[in-house]
Amino acid sequence: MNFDELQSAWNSDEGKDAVLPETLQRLKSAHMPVTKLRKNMRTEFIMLIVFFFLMGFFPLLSIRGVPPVPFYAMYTALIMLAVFHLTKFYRFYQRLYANTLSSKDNLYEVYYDIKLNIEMYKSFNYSIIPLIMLYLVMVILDLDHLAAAPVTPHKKMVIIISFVVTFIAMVVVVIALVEWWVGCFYGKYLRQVGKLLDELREA
Amino acid sequence: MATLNTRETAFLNLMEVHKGIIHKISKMYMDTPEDQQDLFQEVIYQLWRSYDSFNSQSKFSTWMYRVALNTAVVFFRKENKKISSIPELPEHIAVEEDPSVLKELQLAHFYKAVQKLDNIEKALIFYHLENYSHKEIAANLGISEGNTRVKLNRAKTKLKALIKQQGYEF
Repeated sequence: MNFDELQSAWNSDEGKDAVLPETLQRLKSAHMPVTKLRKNMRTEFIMLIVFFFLMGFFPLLSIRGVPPVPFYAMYTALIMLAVFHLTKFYRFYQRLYANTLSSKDNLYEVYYDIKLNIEMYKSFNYSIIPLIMLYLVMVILDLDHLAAAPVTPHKKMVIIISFVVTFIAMVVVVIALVEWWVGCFYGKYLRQVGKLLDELREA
Repeated sequence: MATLNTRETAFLNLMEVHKGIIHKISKMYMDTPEDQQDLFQEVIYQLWRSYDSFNSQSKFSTWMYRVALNTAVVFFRKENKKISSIPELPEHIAVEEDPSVLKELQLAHFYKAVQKLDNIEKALIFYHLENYSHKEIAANLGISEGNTRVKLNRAKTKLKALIKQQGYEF
């Protein structure tokens, strides 16, 4: 192949078929990894807000074992955590990253942007675990009050052990689910940019 | 509002002059007309979004290449797209009499082959065809000059082999 010939053909390609948009106001970014990741997370956070709102009515169902005081203590802490993370996420969402850097610097910026988003997402999910633990502790402490008949020390020990085992199992399941979810739905963006950075490594 | 419109008009005028190059980048990075159009729009959006960062003392095309390629390199094609309209290569017709047909044929083979390169290799070929020196390419990609030379040579060899695989040589 003669590159001079190709160069001549390249120069003759004027892109006459290209059509510019009439206005720029309606243009939106839709195919950039950070945009896609933020869009997915935003949808998820909206669903979470709706879930938290509905969760507030849960004790009204008068289910035995859901005492309102520990529940609303946990609920308040959960809402505070959600507000903290959503505020951070919103600021992050509003931040514009420069794409006028060199390709390598730009890719690093995108890479760490995605990584930070993912870590923020994980930290929010994991921060719910201690709250659930606190809730279970409060329920255990209030066991005598909750039970219909007096609880024997032996029965109390069985209940406590069941709670601890359930809690440990739940932590393992939550961590596995979050890691799987992040790997499937957000990790692909990180892997794609990581692959591009590999392509730029010294030959 | 008037200022915004003036800015928008000025920007669109610049785009009118340079749209050909964005179109070429879109054709290098995407294989179907739908994806090419999506990338073209995304590049325009990213250029408009970054327009404030353009320093009028530097050359507009240099600034534009950087933003356009940075966008193309990380661009995600539409998921679950229909594999529909990948343009077929033109038949080997008697091109000797018409140089424009010959160029069209060469470009068709070039675009089909270049789409199979890695995203960074595409950027290297693009800068090379735009007559950028190794030093300038290195600065734009953020890698060393030596690395640029090695990677560009590899990309050119790969491209030649891909075009040959299509049963064409020029």
